[in-house]
Amino acid sequence: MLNMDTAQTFLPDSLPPYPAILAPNTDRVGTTTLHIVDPVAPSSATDAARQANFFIGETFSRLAAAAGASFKIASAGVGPLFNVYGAGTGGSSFKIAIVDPESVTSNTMPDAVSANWALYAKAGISIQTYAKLVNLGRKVDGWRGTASKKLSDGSIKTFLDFWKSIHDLAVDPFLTLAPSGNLFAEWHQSWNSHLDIEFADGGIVFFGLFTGKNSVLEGKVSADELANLLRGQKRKPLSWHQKK
Amino acid sequence: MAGILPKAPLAEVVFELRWDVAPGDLPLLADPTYSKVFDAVSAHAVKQGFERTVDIHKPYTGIPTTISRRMYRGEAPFPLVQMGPCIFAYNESVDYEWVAFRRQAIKGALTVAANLSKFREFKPEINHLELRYIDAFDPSVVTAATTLEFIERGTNMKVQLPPALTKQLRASTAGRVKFEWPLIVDEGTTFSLELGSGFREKMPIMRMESKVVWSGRRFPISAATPIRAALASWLETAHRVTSATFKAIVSEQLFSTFKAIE
Repeated sequence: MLNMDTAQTFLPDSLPPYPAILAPNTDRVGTTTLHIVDPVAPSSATDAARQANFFIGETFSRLAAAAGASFKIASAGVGPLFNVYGAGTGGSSFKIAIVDPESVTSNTMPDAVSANWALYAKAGISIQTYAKLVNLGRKVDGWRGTASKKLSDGSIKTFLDFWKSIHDLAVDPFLTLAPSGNLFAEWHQSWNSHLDIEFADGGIVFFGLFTGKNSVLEGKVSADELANLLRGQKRKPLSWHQKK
Repeated sequence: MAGILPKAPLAEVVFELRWDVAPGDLPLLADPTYSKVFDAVSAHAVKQGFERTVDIHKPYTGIPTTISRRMYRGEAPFPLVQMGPCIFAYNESVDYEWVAFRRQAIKGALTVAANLSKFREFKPEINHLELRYIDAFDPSVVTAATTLEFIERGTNMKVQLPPALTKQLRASTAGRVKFEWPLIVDEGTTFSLELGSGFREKMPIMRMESKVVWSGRRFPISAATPIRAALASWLETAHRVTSATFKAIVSEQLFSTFKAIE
């Protein structure tokens, strides 16, 4: 992840001066649990009573609070972070909006891509592959269930370094994102002849080269070692056309 | 799309237009112009070939100046049209070319303006224009560990800390600096340059953002300078400033690093 030195606030300047708290959400547009904390008299008993499920954009009219009490929203659960804009004015009703951090900036280049920007240029990738990587880079943590991770910039770096060394003999692979956040590339010649590579952090790859009914070569090696191994393959698996 | 990715530090270019509703009154949580502008910009974008729609928020949240929809040409990640309550944006990346970018930006802005004019009771006014360039330098071109080192090695600028301060500190580990200057030629418009360091697997990454922003109560137009001409003129000024500044700021050595990548 590209961690800028100064934490980026996602609050647009023009927002009303409501308290903004980060809250996790287990599903982009689904339900989650927020922990409502009364700062005046915080206690686990009252806090627990104020947990509730909600939908993004929902008005919190059903969250009962003591008249005159102010409260804020703290986070609970796991999953991608969403910004919460709300007014904790007390009473029985207040309004809150859950905003995906993605939506509060018009910058769209994913961190995992910009963190490797010059490598993209050096690797000699096609614009089609670049487009695919950017689109995969836009997936957020939780894109395929709670534990699934967004594309890791370390994985992209391993892929780009690998690609730089073999692009002269390779066609564009079919690229997907593994739930681990690693990039997964496939070259297919037929149903039983294909090359699968998962690119992990630190220049490590997991690969499987299937060249017939009973011929499998697989392992965990460095990307450099795999590039050398594939260069020596008579069947040129990197030139196998991607599956449709 | 075809060919190999061009070699440039430019990662993204953004034109952004924002408007205000009922300026001076209490802030509205919902933009009353949104539905009309949203539909009009969407229809305009489709006509321009941006047929793939990605809605970020379902349902609509109403928070001003947040993006709620992105529209793309097929599967290409750029260019794209973005819209939300009180905001329109147009983004480009590796295929950026100024004249085409300006044309699309103006077309989108005019679509917004034409529809805002239908809501006189809410007195909507364009109150913010922005042209923003984001350049990213990863460890393969920048070995500088900190923002200060990047400024020293990658740019033609100088930032020096006084010895009295450096005596008490270890080497800088991180940094983010921003400079802002009002333009002489265009009142209400500022140019800003922001440099920040980040890390990828403990390796330093530099991000440079240069942008020109106009903000005010009402974008100045007149019978003599209608909105199309006013927008075109502002964009030209903004582009002239950013491109000239980039060439002047980035060191020749860093620039040649990119040129050498073939």
